[in-house]
Amino acid sequence: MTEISRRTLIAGVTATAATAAFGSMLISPSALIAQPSPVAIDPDATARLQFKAVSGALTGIHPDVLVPNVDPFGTNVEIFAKADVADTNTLRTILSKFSGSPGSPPKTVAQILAEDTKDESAKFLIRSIILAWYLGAWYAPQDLRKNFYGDKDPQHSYHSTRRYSQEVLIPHVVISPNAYTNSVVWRVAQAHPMGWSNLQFGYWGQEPPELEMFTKPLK
Amino acid sequence: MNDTLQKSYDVVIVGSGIAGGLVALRLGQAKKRVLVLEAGEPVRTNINAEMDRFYRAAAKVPESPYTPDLAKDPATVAAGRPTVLSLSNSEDWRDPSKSYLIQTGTVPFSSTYERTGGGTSVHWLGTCLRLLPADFKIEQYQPGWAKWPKDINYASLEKWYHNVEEEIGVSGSKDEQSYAGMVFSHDYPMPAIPQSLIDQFINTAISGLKLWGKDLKVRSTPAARNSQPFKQRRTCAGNTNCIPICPIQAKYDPTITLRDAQATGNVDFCYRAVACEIVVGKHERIDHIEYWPYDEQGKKIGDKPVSVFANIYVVAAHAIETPRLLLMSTGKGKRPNGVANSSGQVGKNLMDHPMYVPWGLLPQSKFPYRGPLSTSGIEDLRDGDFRKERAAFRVEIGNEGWNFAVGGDPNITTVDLVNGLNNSLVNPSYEALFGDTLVTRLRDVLTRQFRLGFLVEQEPDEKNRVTLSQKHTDGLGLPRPEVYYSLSDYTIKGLAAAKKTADAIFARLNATEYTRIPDKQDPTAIELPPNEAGRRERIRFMGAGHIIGTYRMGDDPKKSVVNADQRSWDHDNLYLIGSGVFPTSATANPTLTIAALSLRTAENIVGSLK
Repeated sequence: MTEISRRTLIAGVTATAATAAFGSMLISPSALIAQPSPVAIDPDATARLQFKAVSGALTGIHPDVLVPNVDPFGTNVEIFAKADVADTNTLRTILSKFSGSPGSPPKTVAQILAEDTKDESAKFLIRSIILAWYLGAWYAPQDLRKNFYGDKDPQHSYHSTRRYSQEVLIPHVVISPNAYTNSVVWRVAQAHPMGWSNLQFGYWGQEPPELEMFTKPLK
Repeated sequence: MNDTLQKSYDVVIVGSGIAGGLVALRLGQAKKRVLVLEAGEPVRTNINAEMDRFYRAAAKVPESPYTPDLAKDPATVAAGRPTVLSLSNSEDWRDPSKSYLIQTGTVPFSSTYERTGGGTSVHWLGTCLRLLPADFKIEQYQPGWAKWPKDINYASLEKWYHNVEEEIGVSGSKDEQSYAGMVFSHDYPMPAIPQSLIDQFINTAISGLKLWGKDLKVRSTPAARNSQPFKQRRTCAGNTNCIPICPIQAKYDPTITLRDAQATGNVDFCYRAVACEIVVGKHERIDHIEYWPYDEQGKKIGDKPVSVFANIYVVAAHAIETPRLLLMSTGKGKRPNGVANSSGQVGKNLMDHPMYVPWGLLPQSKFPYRGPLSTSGIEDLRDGDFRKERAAFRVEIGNEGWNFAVGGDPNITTVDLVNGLNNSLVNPSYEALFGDTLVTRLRDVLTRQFRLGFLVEQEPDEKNRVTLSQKHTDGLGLPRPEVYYSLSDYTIKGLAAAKKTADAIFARLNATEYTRIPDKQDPTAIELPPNEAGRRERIRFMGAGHIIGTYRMGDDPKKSVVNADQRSWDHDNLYLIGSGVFPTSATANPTLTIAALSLRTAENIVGSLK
């Protein structure tokens, strides 16, 4: 269980004040709260922590932004579960590779994984995981693979430019409303999820905060 | 609620959209007993269910928050409606198992509507442009076209425009809107919505640009969207989601008016009630209206339609369902042409604003996906002598990047960059990115995206019409609407001028264009006339969601369906209201004019009931 100490609370108050100073859309204050000690309640708790770190490396978004220490939405759990159901063996292999390279910076590990073209299963599962974080939607690895190896000539692969064309949309499902409203593509756009703004009237007439305030880049 | 209905009313209204809702409100305030029949689902006490449906929808199309489910076969749906997804594939628009409308035209009719409590304006953009003085006198350019009634013009409607702006809450600037002869007796009730960074950038870039004798300027768009707290509703928080649903109702929608109407204590609502026959009695007066009730599962209730009686009847079911109801009302074959159709005009002259949408990347980040979907437009080309030759248009500036332009961004571009595809055309080397490289590339594209929308006037053409399908029915066994739709040379020349204008604006912006040239097989592909270089370009058009015409107003009973009061020439206790009465489409989004005419008619009805 997470221990709520005086030190944690003080850090939380400080982080909240810092966020308030920058505006309400920025990094969740919970990302800045002192790190609690994880205690494995179930066998996959450790795997999910590994998954959080791998996800940060793959998405380019700091893991503490993806998964705040106090995470009321559980997006990490949802995406982990999607990946686990889709291909548990490949997922475990990816995680073990990551944990087997303790000296490598996350970005290096991610590069190894993404360029491992011999392992088609890993390649497309990784892409599914990246898209899940970015869009809050699950694009199945087999659908990404099918689309990737399809006819790549855009004038043929894109038969219609009609809006919302299903020919363009690779089949996908929104993982959950929370996964959509916490998806990180909006942070990269320095915006907010369409239909989920906690900003104030007129903000659109002014420049947004810098990208780093949305994504907390990896060091 | 149906069990508590009175048997007889002063007025029965078919349809609970903005037109029917405003009439119900005014009549209720005047202490008249009113029944509103709505074909679709009831207005809920909050929008949580709609928001949940929206968030969960893979394709966040205008219909996505609303029922019935989009994937159902229209033959099984009690109150069906056309959907964006039924227009998605090249073949679907002609497939009756996917498209509620039976389409027989040369090009798809690409606009959709809702049948639900609140009507189609549950997912409107909120744009509240007035028609121009010249729009009511189109005969100065086109002597052969149908005329608006002499009592309907800018001066006579100005009071009603103002009345509506006060009623629904419009934010705008009369100084910015005082162009092309428009004058304002009052200012808008709320200040204009601030312009986006994209608006500001385009306005600077086109400074001094003159086309067809007009200086182009970016003007803030008047919108039914709160720029300050209004009638107990919040100020806009820029959710960038006006279509399909504003999560905080800072944008007006007709459910607000329905709530106010109900609060008068004089208005009853009967939902899941599909009007199927207007029954004519003595002296050509409407005797009663029959409707089919159905249950939550869409199953018809009872073995015969229910009758409701009133002194006056108002049909406000929009420009496809209204003529459908009139044409269905044959009195068991005694009136083969239906009701209110002595002119033979019912169903004819279906119009829209065919929309050309070019998109591209600005040379610098201007941060779309922020603010209302559109906050400004270029309105200077809505009128001019060019209307003797070709259609006028307005230009809407989008704040939602390539969202609908490419079929669902940011998903399309993100999937391209992650999975090594190029549907968006921004990834020609088919790279598959991850990590900070992905962040950098995606950010660069998303923050520079923009799109324009050219809403083109459409020539009235009686070939374009709504009739009844002889073969296809809905879930209640009623004939579905059959639509023939095409674009005339006048309209296509307007699209060509829109393309030329877009090219000039893109050049001023130093923008990189990504607008896709459609295949010839694309049913919405239009071959433009040869340009100045003698080259024929191909573009595609979209529907604007502005369904206009089909029961036009006029001064001649032989050439029009209703008079200036929107009263049927044939039945003096029947009113047909909505954009179906517009003799011409002009270029303004039609809702404000629908609402102004509705309030004018409501006053007329109240007077006739005294």
